[in-house]
Amino acid sequence: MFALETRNLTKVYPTGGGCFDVSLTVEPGEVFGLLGPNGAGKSTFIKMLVGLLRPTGGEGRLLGLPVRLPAARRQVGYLPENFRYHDWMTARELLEFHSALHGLDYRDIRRRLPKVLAMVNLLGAEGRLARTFSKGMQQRLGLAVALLPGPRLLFLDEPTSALDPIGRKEIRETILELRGQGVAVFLNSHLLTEVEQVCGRVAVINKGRIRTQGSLEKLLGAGLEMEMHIGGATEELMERLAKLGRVFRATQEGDIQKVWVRVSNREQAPLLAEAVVNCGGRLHLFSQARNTLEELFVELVTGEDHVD
Amino acid sequence: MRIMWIKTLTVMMKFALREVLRKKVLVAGGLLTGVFLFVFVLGLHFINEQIHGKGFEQIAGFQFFTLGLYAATFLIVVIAAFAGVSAVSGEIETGTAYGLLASPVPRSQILLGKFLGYAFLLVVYDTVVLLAIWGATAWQLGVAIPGVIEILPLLYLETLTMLALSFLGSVLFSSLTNGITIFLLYGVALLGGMVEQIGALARGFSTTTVTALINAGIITSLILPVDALYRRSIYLVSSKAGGITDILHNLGPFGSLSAPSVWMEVYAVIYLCACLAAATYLFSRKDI
Repeated sequence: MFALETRNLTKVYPTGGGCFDVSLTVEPGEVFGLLGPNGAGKSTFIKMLVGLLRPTGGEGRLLGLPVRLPAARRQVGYLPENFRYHDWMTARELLEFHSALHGLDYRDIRRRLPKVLAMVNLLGAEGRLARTFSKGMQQRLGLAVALLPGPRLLFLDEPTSALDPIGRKEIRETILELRGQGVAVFLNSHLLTEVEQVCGRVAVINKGRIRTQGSLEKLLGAGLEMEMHIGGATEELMERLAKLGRVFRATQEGDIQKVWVRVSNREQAPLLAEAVVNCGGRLHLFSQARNTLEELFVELVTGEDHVD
Repeated sequence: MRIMWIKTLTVMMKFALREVLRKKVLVAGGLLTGVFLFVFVLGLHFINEQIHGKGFEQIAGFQFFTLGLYAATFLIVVIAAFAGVSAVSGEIETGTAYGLLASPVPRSQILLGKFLGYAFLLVVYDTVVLLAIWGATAWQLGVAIPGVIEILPLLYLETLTMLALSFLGSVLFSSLTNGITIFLLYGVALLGGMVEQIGALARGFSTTTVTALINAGIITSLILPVDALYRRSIYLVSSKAGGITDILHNLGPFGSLSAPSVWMEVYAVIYLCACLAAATYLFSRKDI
């Protein structure tokens, strides 16, 4: 059984925009990333799945149950984008309230509360009113609310948007920990490096339609393109580079030879640097030239009119 | 399943009660109600000084009780309208709806739980205020108004009808639009009720005029039966006033010369249920 499954799920707003024919699946224990520019339909898609919007077509299932049933969300956590919680409650009251809505009894809540607070680094702050929390703390409180019911499927809509680099790292670690526990995580983000670091599979959405989806390896290709700026390049060096990969471009700028080489996998990249050093060359620049998720994203999104 | 339903309603009721307490609504409401009752007692005290021993206590007592009930009804209805005016729209406008409505609880239970929480507080408030007015009249003028227990359910019905309408408006409109709409409707109902009483008093006018004035009141009662329920309360109380009943019925626009029948109570119950049913249905289908 899939943690999440949609078939041609559609939401058409009266204005004509929305989300059209989205079909995808997420396995238990998988971290899936949905990428897209602002206004592409990412949040609309998630809102349909968590019951905030009524789909106008297609179907969706959460943990085997149709999305139209409130019970489908019993083991689902959701951290909304730009969320707000009732700030007249303390963090503990908020957590207890939302857990009670998920059907947890008081004993379960008491057992899970310290664990979840520790996970989001808010242990000791549970007695404070939510309104006294910083933006980053509120974001972590939101994550705690999503985690406390012990979800098997977790929707995170731009979870790190309000966080500093340390907070982002903590969230990434939490996501990976949840993955290890078999929790399926659906990550909605436009922070591509973040998605690359935690997601096994991604989908790119633009203008309400999925443009591509699959594993990162499949989408980015098995190969890797490296750009090198070499001083003192010799013919022997160029031949060795050609044996390691395909040199598809080379230009000379003064003493510097600029070379772009495509290798079949990531493990071969250090061999290129080793070859330069062994042949007496000086490596001024050594970087990945293409095939980042960002390049793929830009490729898919540009050429089409941005929705926003 | 039923246990889960009751549990969720209880959670939402507690939430509504806690919100009222935490936002200091209860403290502010309690203090200002205290001021209202103080002014009422002060009025009774000075009237009593003027009429004591002259045999007018009975009339003054009924009239002051009617006045107190009118003012209390106004207060209670306004508080009920305020309580519900942003019950749903406020959650959406502040963004708190996202976390709340993504829970596995049907929206109907969220709405009904909140409604019951507010309703519980308002019913307690109604009881306290009505008994305080009754007690103050008895204390200052020595007149124990009969039939108070009978009109208590009518006061509850007025309150809950207004609260239900306010909840429905909160599903349909923004908080501001809902607030304005609800108060305008109440204004129309109040005015319609007064026009109806004037029609009943204007016996010297042509039949057409009298009928038109009374019908105007009946129509506004159907639009919002809150004022009609007040008139029925006054009618029930003054009907038990013995020899001064006719005097009390002729209180002009504030009286109940043209009194609504018991069917208005039935209509109000149906109206309340219809508002709640419409609110839950529309809320369940609303895109957030």
